[in-house]
Amino acid sequence: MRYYESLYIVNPNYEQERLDEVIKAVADKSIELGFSIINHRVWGKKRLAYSIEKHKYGSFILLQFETESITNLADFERFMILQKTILRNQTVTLSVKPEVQIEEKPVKSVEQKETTEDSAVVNETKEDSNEETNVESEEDSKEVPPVENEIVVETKDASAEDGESEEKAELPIEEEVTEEVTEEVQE
Amino acid sequence: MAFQSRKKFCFFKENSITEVDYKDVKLLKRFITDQGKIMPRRITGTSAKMHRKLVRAIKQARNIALMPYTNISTES
Repeated sequence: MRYYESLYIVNPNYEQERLDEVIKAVADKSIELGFSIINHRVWGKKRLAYSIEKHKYGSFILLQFETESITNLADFERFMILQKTILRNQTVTLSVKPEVQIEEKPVKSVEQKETTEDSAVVNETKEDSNEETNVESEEDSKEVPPVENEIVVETKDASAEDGESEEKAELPIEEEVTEEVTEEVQE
Repeated sequence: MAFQSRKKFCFFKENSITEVDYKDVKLLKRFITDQGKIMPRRITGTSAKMHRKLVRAIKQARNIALMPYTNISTES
């Protein structure tokens, strides 16, 4: 068994969801080619030493895997090059088997789920108990539109003023045109 | 009085480092000049075996944009 490490740079402007899609696509391809993934994690967003495709930053993702067949590595390399989302990639051999690094994200996600559930329960209790507050909030929401109306009125006035000013600006031109026409007629 | 030069030593042997990782940019930057060139081992004093590994790691780091090929053009 040989161990390999592939480090690739993804477009830094991508959001987390889109980044996850790219990671998933690479993971699916590597599994399809018969690689057994050891580690696959986001190394971080780093500043590039030189700009690649006018990008100064890049999201670095590290993939460590093991495989026996060398022929599939060329296919993997070609797949990585053809991906437009991946700016640069590099696969190197490892002399020693890499340690499996356990990510802390799953623990955090579980905690987040618990917190969201708690917050949902709290929201339900608030909705049940404090109906009066909802009425007040509705009243508040009703009070908001007049302010918008005022703004609209102001904008209308401004637009009307603009229209008048435009008319004023246009008028002299018309007068000039009429004067020119009269001069031509006299000639 | 003759001026005695400082005795050179292999950094990797002193710190018992056997493998050079291309992702360890902080270490690799010790062995390049301000321009980004790889320093010769007659100056750094690294052993021939480790210098070969070091050169490979620097070139790999350059390819993946962790280290610059040159620092001249980036100043402008």
